Amino acid sequence: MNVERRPHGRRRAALVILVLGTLAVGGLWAGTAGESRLPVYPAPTFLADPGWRIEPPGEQAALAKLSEADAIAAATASGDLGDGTKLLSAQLVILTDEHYGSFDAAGVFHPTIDHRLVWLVRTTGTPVPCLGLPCGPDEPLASELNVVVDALTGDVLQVASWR
Amino acid sequence: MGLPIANGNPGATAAGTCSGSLGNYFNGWFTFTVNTWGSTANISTEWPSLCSGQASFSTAWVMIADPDLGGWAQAGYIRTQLWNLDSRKLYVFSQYRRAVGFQPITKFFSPGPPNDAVRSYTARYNPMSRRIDLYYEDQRLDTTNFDPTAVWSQPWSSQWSEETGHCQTDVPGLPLDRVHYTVVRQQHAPGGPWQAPIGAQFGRDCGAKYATQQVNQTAFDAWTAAP
Repeated sequence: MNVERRPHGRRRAALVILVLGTLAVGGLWAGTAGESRLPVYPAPTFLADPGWRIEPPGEQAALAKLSEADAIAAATASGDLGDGTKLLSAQLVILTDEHYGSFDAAGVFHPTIDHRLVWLVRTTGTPVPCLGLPCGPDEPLASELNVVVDALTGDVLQVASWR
Repeated sequence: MGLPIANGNPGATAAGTCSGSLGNYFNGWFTFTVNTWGSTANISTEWPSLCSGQASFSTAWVMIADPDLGGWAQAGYIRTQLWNLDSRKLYVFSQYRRAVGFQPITKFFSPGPPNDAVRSYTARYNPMSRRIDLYYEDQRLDTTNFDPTAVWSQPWSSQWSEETGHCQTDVPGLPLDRVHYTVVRQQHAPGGPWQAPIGAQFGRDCGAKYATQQVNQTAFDAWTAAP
């Protein structure tokens, strides 16, 4: 028997449809290719906790093979988003993860995700439990999920949460 | 040897129905009495079954933690539906938390290790950066946003363990396909040599559901005894 169970699959699909449908009704579909149609949060140029350096895509936006809807679908296609999850934004950006990578013999760090054209899909309200040790029922749990989707291949490269 | 999957195993043995809310249940090796600055091990990859009825998780990892266990830094592999992850895959993950009351910072990376593959995982204090670096093979996954020497007091805890979110979920490994923790070592000085664990003790939750067995001073097996 297969034990994978996805009790929230229908809700997740409904979430995406609801968000996209609402935006369509709201007339926000007028953006050009690569332009975010969701409310765009003010992305800082550097997020210290995950070590993410974020840059605007500039002319590289035209290279994206994935539409915003495709990126959201890829980011929410699996797993359990949990009750209360809200799809907050999807942004096409150039991402470098300055924490994730390897050092060469000379000690120079080479990021694995290095100036990559990606969609950053962000949700809030997503349950994010502790691994390793109990967080405790009264402690704050991170609830923001950031899914990094390769804008060329649709691969989910990384999922991260820190708040 | 595990089941023949590259990364994903729809034919895995079923676990039971999840009971109770999500928790933290362990099956591994731990030190609490010797100064430690790093933990490392090679861990074989086995596909765990998750309990049904709610989201759960099953992992195998290495860790260093502060004495009161309010803060930690770990690296390992995981199967889960949580975090919107695809439970048809294994992921590599890192997670750390400075102390009680701070948010854990978590990253998941794909692709995860293939079934049966042996991969090294390391959590070690870096005396140059004064951070804890978390590694998968030669890839640094993440580095902490704090200096643990400023907030933790030695002896820290070295841990090499499996963990689940419910006792009905299997830890990786079955009686005939155990997970092998090999080259299990710790650092007794910042940036110092890797040595066999001192004073390591087994810890196990969920009664007879999970099992561990020491192989030698730097190796043990872990598995689900009653899948």
